[in-house]
Amino acid sequence: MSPVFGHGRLRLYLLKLLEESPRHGYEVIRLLQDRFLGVYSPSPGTIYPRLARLEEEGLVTHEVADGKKVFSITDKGREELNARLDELDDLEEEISASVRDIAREVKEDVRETVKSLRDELTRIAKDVRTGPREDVAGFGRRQKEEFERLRQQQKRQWQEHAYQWQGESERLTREWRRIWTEIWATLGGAPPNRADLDAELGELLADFVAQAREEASRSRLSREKLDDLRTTLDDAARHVRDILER
Amino acid sequence: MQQWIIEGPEQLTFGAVESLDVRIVSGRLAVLASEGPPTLEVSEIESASPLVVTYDEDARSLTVAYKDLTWDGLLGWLRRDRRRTVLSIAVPKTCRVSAGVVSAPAVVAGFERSTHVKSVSAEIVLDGVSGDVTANTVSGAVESRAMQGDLSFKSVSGDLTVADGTPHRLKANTVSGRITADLALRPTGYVTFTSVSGDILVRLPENVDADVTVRSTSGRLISTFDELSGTDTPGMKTVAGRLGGGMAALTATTVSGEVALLKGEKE
Repeated sequence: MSPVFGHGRLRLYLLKLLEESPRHGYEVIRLLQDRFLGVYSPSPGTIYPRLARLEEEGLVTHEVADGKKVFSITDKGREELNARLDELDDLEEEISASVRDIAREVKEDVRETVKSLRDELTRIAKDVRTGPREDVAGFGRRQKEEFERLRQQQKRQWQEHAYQWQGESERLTREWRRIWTEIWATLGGAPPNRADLDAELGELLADFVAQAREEASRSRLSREKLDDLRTTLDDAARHVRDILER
Repeated sequence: MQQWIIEGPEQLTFGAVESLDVRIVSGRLAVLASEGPPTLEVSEIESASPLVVTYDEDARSLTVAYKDLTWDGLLGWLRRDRRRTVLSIAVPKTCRVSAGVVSAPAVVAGFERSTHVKSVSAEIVLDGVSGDVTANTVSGAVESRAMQGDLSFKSVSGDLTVADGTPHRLKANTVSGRITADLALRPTGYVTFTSVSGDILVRLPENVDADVTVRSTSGRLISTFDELSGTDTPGMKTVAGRLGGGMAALTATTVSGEVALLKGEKE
């Protein structure tokens, strides 16, 4: 992001804000943010020292109200402001141009991200593609062995997962709920009935899975039990479908 | 109800705005979420027929369009005279946004409620948009960064790129456009990509929890996730399986396009 304020411009703008009315320091920060669409967010560490400097120079003064400093412009401050009216006009113009500028920067930024992502993924896919293709003979056989290996690997991973769940099911339950609630809370407005209901459904499903896993971790799973469970779940899925199609 | 006829560069400021409907033909369009007062700036305009800005205080709606342009006749805009407008609009992030462009590249950033964008040949950039988002184009590309929520994308030949996306529901449908997506998936994430001849490139985090199915009739399938297994029957190749504990779902289907499923860093 290019600097929003050139040299001395911030000082001028602070005077202008205080000329409009006396303000708290945090109010000044907020106004600056608003003017710049939240893109320029001056920190208190930038603004307070500036105000202190202006005060040293006698351009602003402050009084304490409710334990907070309220700054206001002095006659000397007004003089400086009047002397720099032309500059102020330029500044206003720059600020009004800022929506366009910000849009341009957003665009360039996104395009850059998107382009480098595309290049990166294309390159990775190409590397993967050219790797195992070099040797075509015996490809089918090796592929079969490969799948067998993958199946074994998958099985192993599943067992590992099962162990993990035992230890972590408690944590997962909380975690999943939290993730859901958080995500749907931040989703905001969307279609009103939709997002909320989706969120609730998500939570129901998450609770269900977490609970099932927790119970499974406590009991001994066998092939027969698993088959029974599959039948039960298929039934449940059918019911769910019936309800949703209603 | 207030109305302005815009024939030259101009700046306008409005009261509360909850819905925005903007349609332009060529030039440039920017719609940004802003905490300040809603503003509209026309910095260039070159057109036989003037641009009409309508602000309805009661409905809190803002409409920007040429008098004779309606949503229905989007393609018809192409046949009309040259109309070039450079337009920048700032409205609150909770505003519902509908934007239509023919050949004017559009940037839309920061909205969280509902955002609908249509374009014929222009490129659309979406940054930090969440909620309910639709983007339909004929040949224009859609580039999205940091999207959340629901995104529905349709195009004939326009590409879709999703960088750093955390979709809840992401549905992309294209004929020959290329789909590139770098995604993180939450447990309710539901992603469907469909193309006829366009390639599909997807990257998921190494520790993603998702059920994945990738299919193609004649295109090549690539996966760098070892957990996935492939079946190859005449007329349909499939790579499918469960990543991590599963639950989010991702499906990518093409007729002749290539699908690559790539493993990224841990999330």
